[in-house]
Amino acid sequence: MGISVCIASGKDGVGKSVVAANLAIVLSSLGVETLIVDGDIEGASVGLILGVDPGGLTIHDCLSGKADPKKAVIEASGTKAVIGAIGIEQLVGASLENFPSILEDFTGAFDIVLVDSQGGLGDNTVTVIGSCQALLLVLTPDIGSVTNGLKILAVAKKLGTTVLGALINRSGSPYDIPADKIADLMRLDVIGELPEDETVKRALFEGVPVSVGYPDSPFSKEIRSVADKLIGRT
Amino acid sequence: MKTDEGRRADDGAPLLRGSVAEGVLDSIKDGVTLADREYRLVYVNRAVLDSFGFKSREEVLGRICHEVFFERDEPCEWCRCKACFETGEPQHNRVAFQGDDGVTRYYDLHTYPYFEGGEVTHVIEVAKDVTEEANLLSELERLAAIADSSADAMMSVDLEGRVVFWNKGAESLFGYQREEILGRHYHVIVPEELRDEAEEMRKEALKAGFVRNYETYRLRKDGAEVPVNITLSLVRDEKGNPAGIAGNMKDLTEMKRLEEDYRNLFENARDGISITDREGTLVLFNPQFIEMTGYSEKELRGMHLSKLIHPRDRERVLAYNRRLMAGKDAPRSYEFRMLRKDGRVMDVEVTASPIVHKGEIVGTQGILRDMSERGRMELEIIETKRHLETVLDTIEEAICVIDPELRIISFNEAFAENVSTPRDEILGKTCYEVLHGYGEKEFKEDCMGRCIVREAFETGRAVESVHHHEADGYTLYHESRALPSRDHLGEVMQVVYVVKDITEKKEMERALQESEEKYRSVVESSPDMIFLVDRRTGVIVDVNRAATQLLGYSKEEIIGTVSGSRVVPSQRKAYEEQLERLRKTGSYKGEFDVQKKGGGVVTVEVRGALLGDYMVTIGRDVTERRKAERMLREYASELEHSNRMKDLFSDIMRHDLLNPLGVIKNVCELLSDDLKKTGAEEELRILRRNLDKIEDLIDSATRFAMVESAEELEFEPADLVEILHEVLETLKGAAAEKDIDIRIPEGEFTAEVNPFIEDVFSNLISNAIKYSPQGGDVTVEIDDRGDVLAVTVADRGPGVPDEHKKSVFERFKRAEKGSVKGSGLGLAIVKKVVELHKGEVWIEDNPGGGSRFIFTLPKRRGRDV
Amino acid sequence: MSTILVVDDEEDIRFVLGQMLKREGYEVLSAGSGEEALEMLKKTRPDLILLDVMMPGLDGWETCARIRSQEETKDITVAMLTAKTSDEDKIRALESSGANWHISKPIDRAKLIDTVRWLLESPPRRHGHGKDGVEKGGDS
Repeated sequence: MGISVCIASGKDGVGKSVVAANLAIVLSSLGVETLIVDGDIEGASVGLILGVDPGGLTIHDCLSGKADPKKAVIEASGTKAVIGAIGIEQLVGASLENFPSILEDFTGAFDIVLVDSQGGLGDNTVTVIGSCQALLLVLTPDIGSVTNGLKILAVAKKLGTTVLGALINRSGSPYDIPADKIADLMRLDVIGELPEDETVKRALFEGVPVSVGYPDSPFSKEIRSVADKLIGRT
Repeated sequence: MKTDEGRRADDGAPLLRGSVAEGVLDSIKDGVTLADREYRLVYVNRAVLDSFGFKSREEVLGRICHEVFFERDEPCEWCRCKACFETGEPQHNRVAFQGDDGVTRYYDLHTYPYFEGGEVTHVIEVAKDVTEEANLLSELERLAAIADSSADAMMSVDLEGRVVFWNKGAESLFGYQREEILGRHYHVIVPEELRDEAEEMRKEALKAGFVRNYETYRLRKDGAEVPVNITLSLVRDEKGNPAGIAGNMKDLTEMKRLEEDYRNLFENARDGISITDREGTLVLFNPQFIEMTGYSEKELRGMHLSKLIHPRDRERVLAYNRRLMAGKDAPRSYEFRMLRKDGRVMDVEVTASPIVHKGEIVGTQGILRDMSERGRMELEIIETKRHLETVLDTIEEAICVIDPELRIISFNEAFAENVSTPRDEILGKTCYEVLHGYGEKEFKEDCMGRCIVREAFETGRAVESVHHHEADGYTLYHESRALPSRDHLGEVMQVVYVVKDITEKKEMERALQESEEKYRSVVESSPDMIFLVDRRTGVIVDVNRAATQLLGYSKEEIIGTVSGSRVVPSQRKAYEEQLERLRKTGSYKGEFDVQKKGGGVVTVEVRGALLGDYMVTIGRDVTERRKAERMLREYASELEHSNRMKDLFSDIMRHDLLNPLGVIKNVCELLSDDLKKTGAEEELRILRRNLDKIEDLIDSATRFAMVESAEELEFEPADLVEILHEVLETLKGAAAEKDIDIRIPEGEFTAEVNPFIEDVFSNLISNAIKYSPQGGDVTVEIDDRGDVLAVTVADRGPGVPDEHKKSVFERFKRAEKGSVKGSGLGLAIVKKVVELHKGEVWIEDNPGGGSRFIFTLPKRRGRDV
Repeated sequence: MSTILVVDDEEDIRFVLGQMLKREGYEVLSAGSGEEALEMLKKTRPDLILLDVMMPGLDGWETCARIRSQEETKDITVAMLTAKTSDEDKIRALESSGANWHISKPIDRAKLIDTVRWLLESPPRRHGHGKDGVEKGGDS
């Protein structure tokens, strides 16, 4: 029986999906049976980040009951993934009603199931947070992201989801709130500080995951250290 | 006829004229006796001895005749011997003797004189047994007299068709005298062209025994034809062999003439018209009459009118008719109830008048009018009746209609199938004959007293009975009902008798009863209350044991009451709504508190179902369950309460204890810096103050917790002034420190309080001291307001802003905006304790600065303020 | 040397905070209430305000809002001091009251000094009006 970990952020645009996908790749490379599930059903991007051609079965097919969840698991960039559909007609009206049971199926088959959730505090995010056992908060080191991150923490606390810690993304600016201040304010472990890295954007542009295409980039290195910490913890 | 007999007596006379041997005399059947003037018997023959029971002549000879044979002292009054001695003439008479066997025998007695020397010395008496002859004669005489007295022509013919009898009526009808027609063939009175027909009818009569009401023409002696109605019947001899045909002929001349006269009237009349002869037999009627009676024309012809009259009116109508016939005064127009063939009764108004022919009343004419509504609605009724009959015929129950004389006047198919009497013979037969095969005798023995048909007639009420009998090892049940049917006057005219084979029903009933018993035992033993409620009225019609046990009422007390009448008043409306829903939808569920007899309430979970015309409500006593639930809830609320307390304490610890602790910690850090340099008086002072604060907080938090759970504490009357003095002792130091003067009232103010009341005073006064400026004063006042005491603690401090006047007491209510820090727990304790005393606490501004904390205390705690 | 205004109704807290900050070399002003603080701000412009939330009279939230609403004071860095450490209070501190940071009571001396240093040394902020002023500052 594995653990389901929701990758969440208080708002969109903090690089949550990139962190999630690359974390999955790195964990898999470390021999952990990892599955990345795209739980952002309104704006799926995991497939895009992993460089998977869309067209196969998606999480949307599973949610609507059209597909057996296990059959929707694909392999990409050395990790297992269930990606989301990108067709607008499939996204509209998609419901996460069956998500908890699907997730349960997956945790039975993998060590770690990472669920990339939608940013913000919409119903879908709440559903995903509630169905996962643990949560990793991804935030950028600014006060807005921190404030919204606090809201995610409040939700997680209410839903009984264990917060593993925070991942600070795009750090390195002199205007950043220091990690220790964030940790102090949020009373949270900062598991990693992922630097602002041009190669991340480049990899995305090239359609290859940064940890695969640029394993030596600062981002990829920090992702590996995060993975190490996680394994040590979990 | 006497003359005939006379002749025959004369014939026998010569037998005794000569001297005949005794043997010859003994051989004849007639009795011969010879007696002298003293009536002494000189000779008797064997026939005399035999007829009087003597063995030998010697027993009687020489003895007196009337002494020997009649045991009399005087000669018999009928004896003509004396006359014969006196007159010397032969005598003849007929006498009747009643024999020992009770049979009357007739004898012709011929008494002859016996002359000796010109003087009658003896009489010879010859007795001839003419019993048979006499009987025959008397019968003939009777018949002839009847025949002659009848207006009808009566005749009879022998097997060859020769006329052997002819009465006066025949003489007058046909013009032939008896003498001239006896011995002639009857053809003389039959028109030539009708002789074949007449012969046919004669043969028919020979074969069938009779031919009735045969209408034809006969020929008079003067050659005129007479219309007649003939009834022929077979005459048999004593051995039963056919001996001839007797004919009875009614002269229809008058009728025919009347018929002619009235034909138009008859046919065009809207009323029914009938003509009856002297005997009351119907001889003529019009189509309307036929229709009114319901009989066919053929059936009516020759029918006596009494058959058409309801038995209750029969005597009256017949009496009227007889008077009319006798030429006496009689009502000419009256009503009676006509009995139709179908058994129905029709109210009829009749106008009756005699028909006079040649100065004689020969019959009556009746004009009948249907007085009932039914007459006008005849067609519809016939139609309806036809339908009804069809319906009745399809009914399994055997039905027949019986008139007051117990005759069946109508029946249905099922009835016909179930009785042994052939279908076409049922009508007119009595019910006891058809139903039980009874004759009059059995009817009288068996039907009297227990016949429901009779009972229905007599009582006018519907009567029912169930009887059973064994057949082929089965018990068959029949249910019979007798339903009286009344006319518009309310008289029972008919009884409808319905018989139903209810064996199957009985079986089912038995099975049902069995299952009902089972069901009942289930229902009775059910721990749930079960009520059977009339669906329409909502009245409870049955209830099980559980209900009586749980509610404490007896069955009788519950049955008949309206369902829901024991539901507590506050829920009754809701219950009625549920019941209405059940009535309409068949589904129902709810939970209600129901009052038990003699007080107490049970909580009942009620479900309902529909059962035909009934509603079943099933109530389960959930009092215990609810009690358990309530206890659970209370427990949960206690838990919640204790959680709240826990929250409260963690809140107190975190916010109020951590703060001074944090200060202490910070000061310690500063101290360690300072100690390296100089003294640290200020830090140490702060340290002590914060340690005091913590101590105080812990103390008041503990007290608060105690107050929170102090609801069970006892209240006792106490003098508040006394308590104030005690409290002031403890606050002396603090007051002195700030040089504060505390003024308290004098006298005695008693209220029911618990020991926590001290906290109220100490908190309020210490607060007042705390917020008072150096040298200020604190005033405590107690105001007796009747039921309550109002205590005011006034200070000269900064006062409490209006927006906080309430919230200062709400220290531990959840996260209110901008709650004031540092007010401690004191005021929360004050509020709690005052509320425990059912009092109130509030803050007012002190005129001229400062606050007035006011709280009220009921003198007796039971009373709210 | 930076000037720090300590606003707290509790004298002991003011003393302790003042001592801790003074010993780090900061100039410390103190006010016993929100009203007093606002009055002081009319004359002086501290670099940082440590503002207690729970105060009688004007509470911390209201005081902060007034600071942000005044042109002369709106860009002063404010850190709220709260004893209640619920997420809600923090979110409120950072989001709706327009404060820049939040410091929990009781005071951890090392963290206080570190945070104060960070707040004073990070680039100056410019605050807009209203609720989203903080986020704008964060983005800039």
